[in-house]
Amino acid sequence: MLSVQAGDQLDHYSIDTLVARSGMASIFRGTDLRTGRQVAIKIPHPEMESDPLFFDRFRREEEIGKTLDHPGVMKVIGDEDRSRLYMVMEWVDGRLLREIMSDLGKLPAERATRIAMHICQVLEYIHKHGIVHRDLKPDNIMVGDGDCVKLIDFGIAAKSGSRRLTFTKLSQVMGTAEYISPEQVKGKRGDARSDLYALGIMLYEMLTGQTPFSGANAFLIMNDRLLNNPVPPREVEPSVSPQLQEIIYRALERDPKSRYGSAHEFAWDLEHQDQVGVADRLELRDWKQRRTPWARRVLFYAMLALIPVVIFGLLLLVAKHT
Amino acid sequence: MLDLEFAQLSDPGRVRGHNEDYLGTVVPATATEARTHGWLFALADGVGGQERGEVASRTAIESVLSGFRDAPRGEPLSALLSRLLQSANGRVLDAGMSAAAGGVNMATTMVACALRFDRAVVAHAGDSRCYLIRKGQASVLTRDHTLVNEQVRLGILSAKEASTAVTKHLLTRSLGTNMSVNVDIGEHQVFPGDVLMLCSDGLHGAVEANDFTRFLTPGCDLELAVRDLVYLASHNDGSDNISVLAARVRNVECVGMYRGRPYKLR
Repeated sequence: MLSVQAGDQLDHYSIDTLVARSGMASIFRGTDLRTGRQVAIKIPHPEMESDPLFFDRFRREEEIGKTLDHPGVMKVIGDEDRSRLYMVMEWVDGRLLREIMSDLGKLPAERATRIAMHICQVLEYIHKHGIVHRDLKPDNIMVGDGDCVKLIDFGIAAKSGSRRLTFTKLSQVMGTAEYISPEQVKGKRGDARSDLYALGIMLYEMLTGQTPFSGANAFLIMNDRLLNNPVPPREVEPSVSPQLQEIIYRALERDPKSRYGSAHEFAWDLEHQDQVGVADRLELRDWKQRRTPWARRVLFYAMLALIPVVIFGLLLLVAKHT
Repeated sequence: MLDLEFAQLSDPGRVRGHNEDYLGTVVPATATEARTHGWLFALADGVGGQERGEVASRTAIESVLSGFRDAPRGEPLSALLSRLLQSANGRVLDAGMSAAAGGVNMATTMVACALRFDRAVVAHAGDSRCYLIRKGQASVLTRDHTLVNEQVRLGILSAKEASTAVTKHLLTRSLGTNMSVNVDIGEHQVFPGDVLMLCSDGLHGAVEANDFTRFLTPGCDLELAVRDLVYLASHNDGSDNISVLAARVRNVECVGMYRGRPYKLR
């Protein structure tokens, strides 16, 4: 299958300009020649079309896009016969949240709250329809006029666990390391609360300009959230209110049962921050203690090494007394 | 002289239409060759969908087999296997890069067991395993290179959580993924009666280790035992390709080493 370029025509769509190009697909701005309407056309790279994992992901994204009807979800235009694999979506004027954050670094608290509330509204809608995004991150959120948001990329494959994969495909199966929830790190599929965790990470990032968990590689970044507490948002950015910090902590609870139960609860707290009770959290005190998996092993071996020393000491004590 | 008997079987399972596993052996033609080169058993389980997994596993095995046959006489087995797996990694990577414009994802696991005198050297990358069955006890000589196994090892995940994790098939090491691969190598002494068994995850994911010892008994017919194991795995699960290679040590040659050269012990 030949790759498509700007100026080509694909069925009844003209390909106008290349908008974005990722490792898996190219997104073009195009025109529906029947209606004159602007559309976004996502065309997988020829070599990706034969990848079953990518194919599953692509098809799932298309199906979900057709099912959902909400201003906060990018609409996928279902179409008749197509000469090849591609997806047509409504054209959205706006910028990716990632681009906005890259330009501005940190966002003012009011704006970050507004964007998070809009995301909550969309999440409430998709969760009610039984759909979990599972890969929520600033790269998958378009921000338009009035900070209205549109979620894109619903592609995490539904049955990906049954197939064996190499580590390079981690993000295609589990989600992105920085935004993944602790239960997903532990190999669970995750539910609506996993999306709320990802939103908590994004809110932290919007306010402070950095993600809460870090590491040298994806494996360490993922595991960091199981072992350590993030630097309190107010330590990084003192202008963050204690209430907003508390909201972030509630969203970032390690145990999903302690987290916000629904996007509605999350949105309510964001809207009524003055009514949020600030808890005296352990995370605020022990965030400086950094634990690594290796530290636990070192401790274990140190304890083992201590055993003969203790025995020798006891023997010495007994010898002295007899 | 080291003497072995072996049996192997690879089955696509009950769900998949094609077999991405590949097996290979090098049997010494003469007694001299058994001393200078030894025996080699290798198993690879391809990853990549379509027919890429098949190409990856076959490419890796063929590379290792030809490298073993052409190896200098008496090259230490651990150094040899390390070199051969690195070379196979390069071959698979090249095959993936040249398969299509921009390259395609193609990878494979590999477990290789080379034997000479009274030593077995096991090298592996990925989740294909090598078991040693001795006196009715099966012990695994390899450590799965999977994400959940690394998490269990670091104390992040319990064994129970790992068994139900959707990520249990995610490999942290494989041939053909990167420019170089970190291969685990272990050296073991073998005794007459020992059985070394290589298998893909289609077998060890569906059959308990106790069943290995139940079928691979001291006097058993290896061909039959291997067939029964594959049948049992297919019956229990069968969603993946199932491959097994069992080699029984009939006799060993006890040697000592002096200035890097082996000498016969009585």
